[in-house]
Amino acid sequence: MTPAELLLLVASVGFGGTFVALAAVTMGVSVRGRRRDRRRVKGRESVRRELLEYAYSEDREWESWLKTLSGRERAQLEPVLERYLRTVSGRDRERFLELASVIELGRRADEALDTTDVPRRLQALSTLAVVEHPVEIERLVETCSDNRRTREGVARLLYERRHEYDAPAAAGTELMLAEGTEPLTIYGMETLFDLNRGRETPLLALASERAGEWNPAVLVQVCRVLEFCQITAADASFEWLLALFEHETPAVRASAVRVLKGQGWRRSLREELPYRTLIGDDDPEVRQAVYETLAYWGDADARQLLEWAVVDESDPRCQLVAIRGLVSMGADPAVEHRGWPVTAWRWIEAEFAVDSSKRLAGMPRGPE
Amino acid sequence: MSEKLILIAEDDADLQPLLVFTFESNGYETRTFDNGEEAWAFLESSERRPTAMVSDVMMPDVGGLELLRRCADDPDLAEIPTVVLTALDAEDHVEEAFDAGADDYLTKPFSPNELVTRVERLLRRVEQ
Repeated sequence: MTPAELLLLVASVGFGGTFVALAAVTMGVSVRGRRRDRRRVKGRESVRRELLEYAYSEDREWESWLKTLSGRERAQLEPVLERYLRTVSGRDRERFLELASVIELGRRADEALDTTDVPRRLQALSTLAVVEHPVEIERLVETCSDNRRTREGVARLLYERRHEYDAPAAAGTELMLAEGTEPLTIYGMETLFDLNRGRETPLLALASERAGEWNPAVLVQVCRVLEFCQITAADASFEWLLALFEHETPAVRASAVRVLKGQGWRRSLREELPYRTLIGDDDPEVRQAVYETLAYWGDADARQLLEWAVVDESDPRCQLVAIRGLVSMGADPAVEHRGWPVTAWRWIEAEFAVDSSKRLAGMPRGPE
Repeated sequence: MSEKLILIAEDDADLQPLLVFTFESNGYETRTFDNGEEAWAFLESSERRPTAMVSDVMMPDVGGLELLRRCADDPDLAEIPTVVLTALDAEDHVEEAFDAGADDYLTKPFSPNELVTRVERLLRRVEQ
């Protein structure tokens, strides 16, 4: 055997041995993980059964009951209990709250807020959102303001326990947008909407003060949330929004326009909307937003601009939005389609066929 | 064996035993399924017709609304009173569930006592 062949043999044996060893370790870890999962599932099944039977029994003595649980069951008790606290309401929830208090679920979660470990703090916030342990807003802000996810967690907690705090919507909104440099997660956006969809919309006042500091992605999210909030306060301020029509990012300009969809009843605000400038915007997304807003308002001025857009707009998608708008405002396609672009009209026809067979019934065919 | 059988279609492993416990403590027998497909297979093959059904909406494979639609299309099953139990609370979802054949709609978090009361109210209506 030549030295090269010997070297090749040694290398092959080495690689082969390493491969077998790695495969064995992987298998071992996998089998161990599977056993652990099986034990966890068994423990969870068993504790669910025990918990339900005991929770509905008369003369509950939770401390004595806890002593009867095995270690495996005890480990699964808290996740099961939290699940029930989240899913169950009414008198039944009271039973589970009793146990949460006995095992000091809230106190321990409160303590966990002091750690630097983000997942642990998130878990703690999630627990605190469903138990009745009192936590001051100041403490939540002090311990959880350093990270976007924990800020969103605090805001969610404030929403879930909104009846226990003063001005939870304002506090949660302010905390979530404290920095305004990093976009919110989708959960954060949902929380922002939940906090602001009531009679008060603190997001509007905050945006009025701070919109200039927020980055474009955050501005788009804020506008998106405000678009769906039903803002009815007579003194609501939209001046900051009008300034966004000149923002350098098209998505910001478009989302700012869409906020006004639901505000068409404010005559003075409508008069301030620079339609003609906006429908001359270079970006079709902005023009689409204008046509959507006009269609939503649905008055004679809006109709006139949409009719213009159907013929003179250079972007086919914008034309489509304008046609959709006219149809939604009651334009009779059989009479009015003559000047409409054939491709857009065919698209509308297909949408009607798929989307609304009832509305399509009896509608004449478009141009061939 | 109880005369009254409640079919429960719910994929949440923690919630399923709570529903079973709630109905069994009120004198009902239960059959549980993790998805609409399994529930449908039971309904199609079993000679015993459930007295009422409680179904989640979002479940793997066949969801609750599809299960309801299949039942509505089957003359033998269409009359079974059904309560939809879901976390979906938007108006559209509620309308869609009633269109699919639901007789009642309850959102999570829910009160187990209220669920039983609603099922019993539906059963009384059927008996009348």
